[in-house]
Amino acid sequence: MDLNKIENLLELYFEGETSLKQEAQLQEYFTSDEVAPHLKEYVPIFGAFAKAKETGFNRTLELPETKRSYKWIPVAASVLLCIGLFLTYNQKQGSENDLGTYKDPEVAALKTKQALFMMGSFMNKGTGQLEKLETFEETANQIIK
Amino acid sequence: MNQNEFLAKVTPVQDRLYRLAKRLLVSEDEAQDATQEVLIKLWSNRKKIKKLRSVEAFAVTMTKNYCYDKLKAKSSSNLQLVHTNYEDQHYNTVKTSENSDSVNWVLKLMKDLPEQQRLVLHMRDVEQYTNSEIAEELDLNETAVRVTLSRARKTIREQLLKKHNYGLK
Repeated sequence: MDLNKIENLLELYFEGETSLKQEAQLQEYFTSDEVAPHLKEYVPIFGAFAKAKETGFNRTLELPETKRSYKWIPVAASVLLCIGLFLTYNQKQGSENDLGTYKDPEVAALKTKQALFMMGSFMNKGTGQLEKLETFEETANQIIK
Repeated sequence: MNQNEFLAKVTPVQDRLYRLAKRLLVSEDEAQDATQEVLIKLWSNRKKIKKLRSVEAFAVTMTKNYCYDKLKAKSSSNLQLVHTNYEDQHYNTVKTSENSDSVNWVLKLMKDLPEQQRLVLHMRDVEQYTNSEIAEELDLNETAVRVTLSRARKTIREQLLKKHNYGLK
């Protein structure tokens, strides 16, 4: 590389006026084996930068395990509980509304008839007991007269 | 972001973080600790860094702040930490062996620079950040960065030449 150019760049360098690209040129020149004798004293500066860049982080990084958060579990449980309660409550109400109505009129009529007959038979059972009461009254009348 | 994605993002940056930490804290071990600490902090903030424009700038700021905190804690405690083992044993690719003494001397000179100059010089000449990046990172304007950089470079040159001539005269 042109020696004049290097000297110019070097001057700019110490004024802080060089661009990164120009600094790379300087770096390249001063770490090469062909440095002009009167510029040799600048070699260690650029050597130092190159050397400083050689070190690095040399540990193996152990990242802490990601803790899975179980925060949402109680929330999910309570939501499920609410849904469960709601459903069972609804079902119960449904059974209260169901009065056992028959949809087919013929069946309904038949069932009603059966029910009424059953009631009739219960009524007759009751009247049987009343006959005894009648005899009791007759005897009582005989005595009191 | 899973572990692999995170590592892919962070691996290109971690050496830079380490070197920055080392520039500030000087001790190698402390710099490794600092880098590790910062990386783990990044990992626990990985949801945040997903949204960031540049993970690097964020990480650099974190490292810088972490190191400043460390330095503050060190200077406020009465314990004076003596670190004489500054030399790094890991280097092996220095170009010419006759120069390695002067190279180490320059590295030592860098350590003696005022903090701001040291940071600017490091970010520019070792890590090749642009002046505007440095300005943003250190909360300076670009002119201030340029001036600081120039001062740092000139100080290094003066000190180096002084030593050079001292040997001759």
